[in-house]
Amino acid sequence: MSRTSKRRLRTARPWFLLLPGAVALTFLIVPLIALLSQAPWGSFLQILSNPAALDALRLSLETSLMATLVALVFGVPLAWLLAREVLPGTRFWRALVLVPLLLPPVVAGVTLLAAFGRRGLVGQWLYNGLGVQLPFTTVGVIVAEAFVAMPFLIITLEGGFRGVDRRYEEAASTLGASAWTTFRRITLPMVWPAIVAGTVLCWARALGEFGATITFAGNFPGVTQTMPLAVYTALESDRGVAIALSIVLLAVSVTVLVALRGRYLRSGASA
Amino acid sequence: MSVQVAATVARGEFNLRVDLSFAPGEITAVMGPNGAGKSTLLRSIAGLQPVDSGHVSINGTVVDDGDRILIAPELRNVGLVFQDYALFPHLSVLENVAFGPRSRGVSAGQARINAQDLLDRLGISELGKRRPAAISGGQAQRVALARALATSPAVLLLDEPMAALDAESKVAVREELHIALAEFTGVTIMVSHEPQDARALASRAIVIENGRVTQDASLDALAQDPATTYVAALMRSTP
Repeated sequence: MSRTSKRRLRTARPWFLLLPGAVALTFLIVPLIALLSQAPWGSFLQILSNPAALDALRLSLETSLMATLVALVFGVPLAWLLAREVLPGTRFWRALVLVPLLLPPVVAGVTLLAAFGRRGLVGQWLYNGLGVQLPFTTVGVIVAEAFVAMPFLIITLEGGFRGVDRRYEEAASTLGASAWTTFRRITLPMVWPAIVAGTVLCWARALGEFGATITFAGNFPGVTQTMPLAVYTALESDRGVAIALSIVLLAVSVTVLVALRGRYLRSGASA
Repeated sequence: MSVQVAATVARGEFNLRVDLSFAPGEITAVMGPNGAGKSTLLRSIAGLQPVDSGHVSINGTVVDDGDRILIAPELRNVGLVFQDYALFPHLSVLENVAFGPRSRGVSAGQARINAQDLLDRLGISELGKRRPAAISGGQAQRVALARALATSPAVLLLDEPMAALDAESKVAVREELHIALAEFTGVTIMVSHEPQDARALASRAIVIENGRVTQDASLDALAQDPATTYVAALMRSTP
């Protein structure tokens, strides 16, 4: 009995998959262990309570939350429009929405400069006409984060909207509900898991944003230096600080993963 | 409170062309093969399917003229019971029934009181707090009916109200539906597959085949003098 089960086990785990699989797993785990083992645990709290670190943390939270809010306000409607194929050429627009997702973040920063820089396509008009400057400001950080993170919200939510049976909306309309009431009381609650998953993914991406931010908004402590930028800067002077700040970001990622592990991530992905 | 449909609806290869009038208090069963256009007829009255030409009018008001007039479903005062009921899964049974009145401006409290009243009348008082997933098919059918009736519609449309039920609950539901429909004073149009249901509930039967009305008569006339081989076969299958 035990003999046959052992034999079955061996055939179920062929070495040519087991070996490279183990390498991949090790490769992914070792850096995390290294980060934790090299952390300056003794001075951890002291490093984090340093005003520069606190500034970066506060700035990161503020900008990433604002970017997520922006993504929600404009991304939810766009996700709906794409899901319902309201716009002509929906396939093209959907592909376009995915571009910031695949674009190298530095390139995203350059495109933002081309658009919203002082001499950019829209930026010159903003600067000369309204006196508004986006690059190298905190608002610029929000713009960069929203640009890179919004597609995560949109694709997650579009799947959610597609999964809603149209008959529920039809039933609501025959019962006298306006388009707005139907959206608010029927459609939105039915895609709630996708909204939660999309929002968290979007926020996590905004929080980790580095390339587009440093390119478009620069690296000014207290103004545009978010946590990832602070980590990069600290690495040049004090490795311990860089590792401590990294652990904070790692903790956030793990928390997000654990929070989404349940029904939200699964139903959001399958919807 | 009458309904008139004299219209053509094109849906790809298929088109539905009818000229029908329905009187208040009259219960009409619409029968026919799958894909003949029965549901399309209901949807065009409800406003979910615009007509291509002709007109649809409710109580003498044109709600769709295939051209410039197209009144949205929410402004038509038509109740529709969907084939598999389409109860809102995230709302309780009570909130499902209260949804229509609330959407039409009735306060949440008043809408709930009225909804509970309706549940009481249909003998499902105790279901109010449950979610649609937690009730039986027969109960869901009654909830769907209550939800449609809660807005006091001028027209009640039922799309195969008993297709989703097992044989056992069908008998009971048919009896209850009979009582509920007898109290309803507006136009009732019910799509049905089964002559027994039509016979139990309706006084008039319309047979639609391939987008055209092939017979429009009483159920007895259908049985005694079927207009087509389809009608003959349909009525013969009745036990």
